[in-house]
Amino acid sequence: MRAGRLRLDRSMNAPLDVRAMHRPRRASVHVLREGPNDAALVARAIEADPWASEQLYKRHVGIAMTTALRLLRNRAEAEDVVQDAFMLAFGRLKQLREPAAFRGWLTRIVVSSVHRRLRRRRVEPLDGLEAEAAADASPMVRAELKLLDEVLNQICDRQRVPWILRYVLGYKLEEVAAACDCSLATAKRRVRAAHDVVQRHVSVGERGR
Amino acid sequence: MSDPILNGPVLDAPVEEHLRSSIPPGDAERMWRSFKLRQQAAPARRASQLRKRAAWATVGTLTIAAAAAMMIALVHEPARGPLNLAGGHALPNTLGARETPNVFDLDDGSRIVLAPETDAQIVANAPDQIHATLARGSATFDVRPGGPRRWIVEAGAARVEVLGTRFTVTRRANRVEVHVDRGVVAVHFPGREVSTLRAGESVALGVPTERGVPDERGPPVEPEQPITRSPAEDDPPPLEPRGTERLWRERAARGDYTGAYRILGSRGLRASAAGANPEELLLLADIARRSAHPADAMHLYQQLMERAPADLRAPVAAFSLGRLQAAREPEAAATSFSFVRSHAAGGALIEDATGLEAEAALRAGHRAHAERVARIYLESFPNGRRAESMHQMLTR
Repeated sequence: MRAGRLRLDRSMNAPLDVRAMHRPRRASVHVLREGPNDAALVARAIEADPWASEQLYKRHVGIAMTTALRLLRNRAEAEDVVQDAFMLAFGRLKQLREPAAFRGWLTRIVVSSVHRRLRRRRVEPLDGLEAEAAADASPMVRAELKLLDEVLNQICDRQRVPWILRYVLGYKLEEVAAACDCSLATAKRRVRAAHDVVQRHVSVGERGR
Repeated sequence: MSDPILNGPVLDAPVEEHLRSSIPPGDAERMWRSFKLRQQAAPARRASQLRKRAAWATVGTLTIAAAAAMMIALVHEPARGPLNLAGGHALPNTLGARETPNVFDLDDGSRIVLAPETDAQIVANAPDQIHATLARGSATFDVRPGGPRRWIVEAGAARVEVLGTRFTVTRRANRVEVHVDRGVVAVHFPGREVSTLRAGESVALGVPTERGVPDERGPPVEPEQPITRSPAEDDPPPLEPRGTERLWRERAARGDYTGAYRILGSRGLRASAAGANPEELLLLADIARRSAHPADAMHLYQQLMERAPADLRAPVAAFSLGRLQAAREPEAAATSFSFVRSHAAGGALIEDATGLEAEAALRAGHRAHAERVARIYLESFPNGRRAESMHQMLTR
């Protein structure tokens, strides 16, 4: 098995075996990489350059949308969160101490908005992992994703969010901690707690670390 | 939950790689446009929020007001969503009656009765307000007293506002008549003082023609008895706009949009729009649209959306704009309908806009977007008029 990969494997009557590696490939996220770097774009956006704001938006809307969608599992809510997050980010660009870290900062805003939305009201998981399966996904893959969806429904938001960041989106634990605005130890503890629940139905192991 | 029954490795890649793209190519552009509109609306929203906060702070300091608010909260049932038909179906946007009267019983106990040959439109259906326009004919609105909604009925230039009452509005070629059976209503008419009518009272509002005599195309309405007010005789005359402005306004008021446009012309229309408020902008856009000048209409609808995105009329403008764009610019139409979805207070306008957005997105080739919106439609309006076509879109 390749490094940086996550795999589910099982034998008859055995629980699913999910093997998560460090940082999966994010094939489905469209990230615009041409043109000036983030630091330059942020500097120009602060000067009210509309082109720079548009480039920043289009460069990061994919990753922001992916993060919000996987966490909320509801496309309409996710889009709303992403638009709010950009609104907040563009309004506070001057407060960004490291312009090059725009993406991480935006992710933190998105995750924080997701938490706030989940606290305020129940968000129906209309677009869970199974509903978002790729067009060419086999029935078995869809069944696995459905099972994972059901397991995730049993986990509280505070633990599910870090787990999804870690195992579905492939964030490093340090990135999970930064996105959730908590210490590394807390992030590890929450991921582990969610992991224990997942493992009752889906055996999860990490290799190659 | 059942135990896993499948055998062997299934997912040998990151979970994310088995999922479809969260944002299909091209969708970033749509989201960016939507974001820009939201940015433009932000100052108005913030101002609105600040006003609300200030109002609440004032209310909080006034014990009497608080007590009154509590009384109102006890007496009035809280609004839960848009007004629906008594059977649970959504109240349609377009109401009409041809040879026989048509009765619409509503889920809050209110009722709308349309006389034969009547056309009305619900332009806004929100938890706190329902806004209808009477295009022609006669409609009786039996509004449940103590309900949470303010009812606004417009017939030409006349505007009737009530909370709980029964009244009839009749619109014929050049005349609008309002009769009150129960309760109190306020009738607004441009250039006149607001008329307050009580049970048993009527008011007939004539729309003068250019020469100040009744339009001969429609028979004058014999006002019902008793007539407490006849504005043409008792009230001060309306403020007379000067020159061509008076002419085009009069023509528009009696539904002669082609004549109004002929007086204004494209240049005059845009010049009049320069300092116009949202209500006037909408009127000018409607003149252009109804006189078959879609380019001018689209320009004015866009101006309204840009200048006053938080205004109640902005979603109505966006909806009309979307309808005009739908045939040739489906992508732009989808964006306009999306604006309605994000800005309208609720109700039938949102239902139609959501369905039309899905159809426009599909025509523009954005299948993922179309499916997403179709799912939103089915979730919000499972028994809606377009539910079947949305199902077909998702299963195709």
